[in-house]
Amino acid sequence: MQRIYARRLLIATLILIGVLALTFAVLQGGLP
Amino acid sequence: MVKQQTKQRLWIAVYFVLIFAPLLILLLAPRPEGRTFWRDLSVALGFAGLSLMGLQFLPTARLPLLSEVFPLDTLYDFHHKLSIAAFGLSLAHPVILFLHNPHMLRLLNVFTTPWRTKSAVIGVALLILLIVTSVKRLSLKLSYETWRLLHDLCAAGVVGLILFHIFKVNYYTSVPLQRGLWIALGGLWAAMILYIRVIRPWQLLKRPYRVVEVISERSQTWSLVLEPVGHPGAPFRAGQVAWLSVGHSPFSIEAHPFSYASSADHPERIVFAIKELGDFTATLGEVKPGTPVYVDGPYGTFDLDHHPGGNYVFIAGGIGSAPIMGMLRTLADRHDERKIQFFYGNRTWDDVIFREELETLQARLNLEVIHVLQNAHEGWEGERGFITKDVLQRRLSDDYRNRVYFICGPLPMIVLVERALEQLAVPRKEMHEISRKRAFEETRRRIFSENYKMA
Repeated sequence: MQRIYARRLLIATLILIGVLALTFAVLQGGLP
Repeated sequence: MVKQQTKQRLWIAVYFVLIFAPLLILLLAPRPEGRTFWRDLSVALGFAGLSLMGLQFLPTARLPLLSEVFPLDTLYDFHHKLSIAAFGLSLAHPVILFLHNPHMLRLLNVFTTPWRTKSAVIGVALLILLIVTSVKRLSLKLSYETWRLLHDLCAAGVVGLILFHIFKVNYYTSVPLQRGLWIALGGLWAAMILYIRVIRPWQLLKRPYRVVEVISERSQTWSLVLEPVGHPGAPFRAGQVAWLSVGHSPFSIEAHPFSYASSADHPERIVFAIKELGDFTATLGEVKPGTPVYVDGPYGTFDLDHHPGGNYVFIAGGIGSAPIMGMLRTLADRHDERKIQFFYGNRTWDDVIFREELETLQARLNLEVIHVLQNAHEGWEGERGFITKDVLQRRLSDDYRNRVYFICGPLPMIVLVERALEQLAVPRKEMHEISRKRAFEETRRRIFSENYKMA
């Protein structure tokens, strides 16, 4: 069952990476 | 003692720090002038990809601190999934740059491009090689040992080259905090490689084992009996796993994971039950007594002591019975009186490994063995087919919801069994599974996948 938690952790990681990367890109380079 | 769950949470916190530190520093520390949205997005994704990639050395390093907290299956499964994610992020970095500015495509020419981009191009090429050979190892007919060597060399090369790339480009790494972080991360990754390749083998060299006998069991299976040489043997818990180097130096890449199948009360005489499946296992019958063996273990949380409970249900398919035998032999040595049900799936009656010993164990333990045969012979009165919900519902004891479950076998079997148990309202926290991906690879592909899909 730990596999299910691992999958959730991976999804959370990818979402957070996406949010942080987009925030950084907007702050640095402005909106595209 | 810190609770298991607290330890898991602490490790997940460490994981988040390691993954997100580069992005948080990008966001929070003073930084150079921005460039364009797309360029900065690609940098952020590239940084995230590299931190994810570097982190891959941790789950597979078999650090006792980590492998005592998370199941081995989960660590390796997580490693596979994270690697694919890291691969995607690392590819997104150049793809966004090229789409945003097609002139940058000229940088792909490794003969003319400067070293700061040459390193990245070679790094990504190695990463593609690493991922393709890992995902398609069997189709490419790569032996486990060749793949392992390629995998380790590529992994070290990729992170080294891409670190070199970001330091040579030196835009956001010009920020001291960002620079310091990447140096620290690089140091951590190098320390992991040093631990895996030098320190741990060196420790193993000091506590060798030797083969006492190789016993032929049913269904092309061998019991490899080992004894420690010059030491009392490493203590282990019933159900745990070790990586064996049989007849090779611990520094070689020839190490394969197997479950302890003997009683945990006797570390001075350990047994591994190994079925002939792949390149290495097919040669086991030729191993002579006296052959040196290095036992890298024990590892894992698939064991009785990690999940103490009232009564037990063991569920295994084929050679998945190896750790279960370790548990049963341990419980028998301890004169344990708890109720145990063992659902054991095999193809035929003749394939049932340890059949005779299971009968004697039933006399020593409060044990009921339920054999489930795919191809039962005429006159067989037991269960037929697979270990399905129907079989479980019919044969599980009335207290089944309060029992602790240990499930070992090929992945399709585990998925099927866990789904069935969930439908029978067995709490998830009471299900512990281990799937021996590598060991079961060939068999799983050949036999189980299709059959279990039909079940």
